[in-house]
Amino acid sequence: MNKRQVKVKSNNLQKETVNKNLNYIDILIGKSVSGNATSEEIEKLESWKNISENNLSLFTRSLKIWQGSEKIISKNQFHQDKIKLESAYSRYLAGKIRNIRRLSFIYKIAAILAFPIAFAIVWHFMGVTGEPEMLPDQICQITSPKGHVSKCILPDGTNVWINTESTIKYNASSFNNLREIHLEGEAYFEVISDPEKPFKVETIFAEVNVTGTAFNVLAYPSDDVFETVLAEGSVNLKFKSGTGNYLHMRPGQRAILNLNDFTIDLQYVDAEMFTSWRNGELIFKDDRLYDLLKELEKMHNVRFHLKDENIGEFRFRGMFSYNNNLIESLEKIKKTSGIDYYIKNKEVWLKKNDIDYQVD
Amino acid sequence: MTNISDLNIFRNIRKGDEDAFTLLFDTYYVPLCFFANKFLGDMDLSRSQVQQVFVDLWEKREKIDIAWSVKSYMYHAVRNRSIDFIRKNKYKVQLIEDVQDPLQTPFRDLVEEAELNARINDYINQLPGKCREIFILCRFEGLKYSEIAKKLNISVKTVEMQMGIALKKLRENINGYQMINLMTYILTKKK
Repeated sequence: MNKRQVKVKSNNLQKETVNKNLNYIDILIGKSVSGNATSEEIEKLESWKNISENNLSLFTRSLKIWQGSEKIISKNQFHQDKIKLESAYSRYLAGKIRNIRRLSFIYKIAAILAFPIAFAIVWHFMGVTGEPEMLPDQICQITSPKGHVSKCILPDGTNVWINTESTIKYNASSFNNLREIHLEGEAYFEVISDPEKPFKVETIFAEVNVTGTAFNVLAYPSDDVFETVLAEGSVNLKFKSGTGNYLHMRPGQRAILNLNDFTIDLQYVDAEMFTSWRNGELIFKDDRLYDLLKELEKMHNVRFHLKDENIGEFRFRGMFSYNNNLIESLEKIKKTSGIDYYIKNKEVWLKKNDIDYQVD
Repeated sequence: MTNISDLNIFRNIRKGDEDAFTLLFDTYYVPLCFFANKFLGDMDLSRSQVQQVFVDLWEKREKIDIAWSVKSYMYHAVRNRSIDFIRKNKYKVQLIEDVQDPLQTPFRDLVEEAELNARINDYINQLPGKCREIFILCRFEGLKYSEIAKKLNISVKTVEMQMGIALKKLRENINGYQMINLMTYILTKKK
């Protein structure tokens, strides 16, 4: 047996001896406080207690601990309760709130679109569908067709701007009591404040609950996105899937619910950028041509194509008005960025202007 | 490690900081449950009532008055809720039989007791596996040693030893100061 083994062995012996001594009394104490001791054992313990203050104190402390622990909350129960709480306060909504990012708009000014003032502010009602249709049960329905923005005023004075290809519906007879609007598409609301009558916007994906505030809701059923941008006041979003928990939004926030993977992005944005459409303007601050074209497609009801893929990354800053016709918009793009266009089969193609190829 | 500095916690929760809220929960949930239990006499009920206090706190977080200390706020909220519950549910009967009347005991004492209960609870949860299992069966399920031995398919001797170890470990963890409080607490109990 080498030295090392001996050492280990003697340690064990030591431990055993010490343990033996302590344990015997500890065992008696255990039996006594828990009511498992025989009368013999109780007597033994009494005499041991009387030997010294220390002994007595040791026993008393054991007894007090026993009496002081009448209930238990296990680790499991703690974690269960914590999870219950988290789902109750909507920490994990339909998916997860990824992060709250501050979108900083760096104005790398690649092109500034010069904009005649006449175009900037002018606001037309684009004709046709300003008139609400009266359906049975006093249900009012207002629709904006493609390429048009409508504005209407609800019975309570709330202003609603309805974007292209969108519809709102509400029950005129019950609107005084229950301010509920059903929305398909995109609309911007300036809600008259009335704490007694909550205002609710219902879409296929989620509900927006407010008392008085200004906000934008984007919920085209054919897209896979639901978005709300809050300009002023506060709203509660309630998602229709998942746990049905709610998200409380603050001004300057944009909530994007992606219905493909059920995640939620919460961002801080310049609300004006997402709601300027109601004034007949599309504002771009450092946006890619790709994004710009998506909006122009909607506005002019025409399809765009890129002859050269890379021009899609070109950044724009400026404003388009709904009053521009298509050619005016294309000329604007060409003037500021040199990106040329041609129209083929009623669809627009964009390509790099040859002039740009002088760089060596 | 983040400290639960009173004003900061509430300030952050007000802003919607979920980590701050979680820290609040981790720190106070268990003692608050023991505290509620002194009024309600039912731990399951106490847990759900305390959870509701946390939910309410989160839901109206923007309106929190941060003048109070966090601890004071939480304990008062739980106390109020418990008393409300008792009133609405005429829970008085059980109360008088089992425990000292919490409405008579000074608020501070109840809080200190609850904190101590929580600490003991913590140490019990830290006992090694078998030892804890045996202690729980004995203390909380009221089984006799022989019953425990049968249930777990071990010898009575093992049960005796493990119980001895359990009490010893618990004793060692609870220091002298806490012990004084414990003694006061025990002395005022009716049972």
